[in-house]
Amino acid sequence: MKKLFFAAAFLLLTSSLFAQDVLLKQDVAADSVKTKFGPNRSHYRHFYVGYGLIIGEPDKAGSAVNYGSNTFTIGFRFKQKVCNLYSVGFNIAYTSYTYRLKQDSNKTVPNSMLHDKEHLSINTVGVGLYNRFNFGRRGDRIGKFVDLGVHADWVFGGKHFTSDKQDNGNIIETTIKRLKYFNNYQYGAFVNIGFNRYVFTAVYRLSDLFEKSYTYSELPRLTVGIQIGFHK
Amino acid sequence: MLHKRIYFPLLLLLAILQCNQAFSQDQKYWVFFKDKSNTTFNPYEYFDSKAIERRIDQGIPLYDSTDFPVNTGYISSVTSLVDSVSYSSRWFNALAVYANNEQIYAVQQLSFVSSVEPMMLFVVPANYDGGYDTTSITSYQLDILKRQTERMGGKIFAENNIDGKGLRIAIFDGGFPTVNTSPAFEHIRKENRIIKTWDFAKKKEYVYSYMNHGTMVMSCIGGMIDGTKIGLATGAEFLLARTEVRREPFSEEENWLAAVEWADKNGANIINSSLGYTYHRYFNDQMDGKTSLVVRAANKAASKGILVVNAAGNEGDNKWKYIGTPADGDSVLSVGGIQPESDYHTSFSSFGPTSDKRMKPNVCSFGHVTAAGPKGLTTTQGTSFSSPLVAGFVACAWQTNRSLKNMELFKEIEKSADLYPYYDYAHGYGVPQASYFINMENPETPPTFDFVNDGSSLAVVIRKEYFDSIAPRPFASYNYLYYNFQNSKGVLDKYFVISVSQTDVLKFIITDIKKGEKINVHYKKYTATYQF
Repeated sequence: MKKLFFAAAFLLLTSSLFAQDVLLKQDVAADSVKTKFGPNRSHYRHFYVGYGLIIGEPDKAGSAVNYGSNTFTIGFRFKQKVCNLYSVGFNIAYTSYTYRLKQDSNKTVPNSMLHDKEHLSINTVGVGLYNRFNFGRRGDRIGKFVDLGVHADWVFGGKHFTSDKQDNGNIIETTIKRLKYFNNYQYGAFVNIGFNRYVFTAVYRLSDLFEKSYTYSELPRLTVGIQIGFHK
Repeated sequence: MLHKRIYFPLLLLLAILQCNQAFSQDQKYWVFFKDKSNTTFNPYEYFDSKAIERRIDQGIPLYDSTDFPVNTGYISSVTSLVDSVSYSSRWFNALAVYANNEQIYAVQQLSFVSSVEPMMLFVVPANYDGGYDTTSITSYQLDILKRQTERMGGKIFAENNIDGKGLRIAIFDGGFPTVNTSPAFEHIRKENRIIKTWDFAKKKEYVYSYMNHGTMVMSCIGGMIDGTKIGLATGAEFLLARTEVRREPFSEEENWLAAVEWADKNGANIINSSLGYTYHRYFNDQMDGKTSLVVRAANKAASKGILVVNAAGNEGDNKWKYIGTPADGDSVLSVGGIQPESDYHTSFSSFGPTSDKRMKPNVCSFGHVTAAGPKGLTTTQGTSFSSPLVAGFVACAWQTNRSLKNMELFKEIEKSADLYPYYDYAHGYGVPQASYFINMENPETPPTFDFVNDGSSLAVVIRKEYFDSIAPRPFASYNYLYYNFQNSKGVLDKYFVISVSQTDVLKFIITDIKKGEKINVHYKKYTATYQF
């Protein structure tokens, strides 16, 4: 009780000693330290999200995909400015790929069985390295650019999904995980064409998705899409 | 498989080439010339009579080489090499051209070309995104409407029939819808005081469409509704220039430059520009009053006797934080914003100083206003509206003493502000006051506080007769104490505003204070300095 009394007395005393309210406080000297961090400063980093469509022809007809095969990316991008026209950097990104398999008589991947719906999906985490060429004069913003880069990813969480409607109206869905036929790693090259936060991207997978021993026809390699950077 | 691996690099190469082509398409450039040889100029043919009157009043020569036209031979030579020429600037002896890389290289080789610069893009009108629209006036709007001019002592101007009469104000903005029909401007239209209009984007006279920002800005200079003044210069003349076009960012710098020369030619005394260039084309450290072409144009306008009033900007609560350009110009009266309720800096108003550590903004006024929009009275916010409130004030102040030159008036406006001689980088010298220009006397303010040095600490103690113990906190207008730490170079290192609720208001440990540092304190119109 005594302690409580002293605590209350102390609070009252201190509140009367420092009763004025600081409404505005600015430390100019601290602000004047020249920053090296910014969209067009020495270095910059930001998060981004991306959505892409998997397009292009498969190696053989047996692995054709439908429209709507897509990728979704969440990533972090770092940029180191070398000069006003050139930067280098890296991305760290999680990407999910969904290949919606075309159901026709040519189908061979992962087997020839036909379903109402079928897709193969994989998740990847990887690193990309890029060269960035900037165009035009700009202030402290990303501006217009072209990136040329390569990426390498660890593939995890492969999944084979099928859905079939039965004669009685029931729908049977199957999901097979821990698939052996996906390679553990993939690599490729990419081009980004950017206008500040909006980036049009094309990624080409150079590695094979399937292990050689399975002799599967490769799924389409090209993805085109858009990314939105979380920066001004 | 192999052919596909070859195919992709080819695809990449094609994409890069396409991209390079897209990025290197025609761009807009300024082409600057070395001289104006073989040109002739008749000021009586070129200038409006008001422009000649202003030059004579301010002792500015009528024959100034910067007003001479650009050499027509130079224009034809450049025109034959580029895609198109959109504007020629007398002041900068330059041409605005569209050209590709090869064409601009050929232009650079001409012996009379001094330099070529890519044109700056993307201008930001300084209205703040938090604005809202309403057509029915509320008691809050009415309260703001009355106080936005009264805070500058508008009643004193009105009682002395000062309304900016005889002054010509040019407004640069993105459009002026309903200025030709709205009752808020009827008093101006009735007396044909909209002298000239020009849409620099569409190259036509009609400016009464597009962005309503300009309408609201104009109302804050000279609008009036049911006899209540929205801005102070209800008797002024106007030149309306549409310069800002969001969809054509390439044009805006050129439009601004063209408009400033047009305003000069047509006899403007004051230019209000509620825009600023910031991070899109510049870095903070380029806000030095010298780098951007628009600030050089604004300073040039000042050299022709025009007082340029510009919004400080609305970057105060974001990463850029500081003023943009042309608010960084030493001859530009930069205006920050205050909150009507709290009467001190509103969070979005851009801070000073300039990158070369000059004081900015110069003065401030309400950053939240009631303005006339196309649908009626509306409450909006931004230093876009602080600037026209002060532009209207400037017209009235100039009317009280037409013998003042523009930069003399600039200094007088600063001196009239309610914190003067105290300043900081949020408020400048504070809110300009009409009483200064009507009474033209600045009575000595009695000390309202004392510095008490006991050897180890320095205290600031409010004199009892000035201490208002019952003032509500924290929004007790005129019960604020402003103080700053000024280093030996004259630059403020830190500054504060506090709400006073006790007489022993500040205490500093002397050993914490650097040698040569000053502490400037302002309380109830009294400013004092303690130097270590």
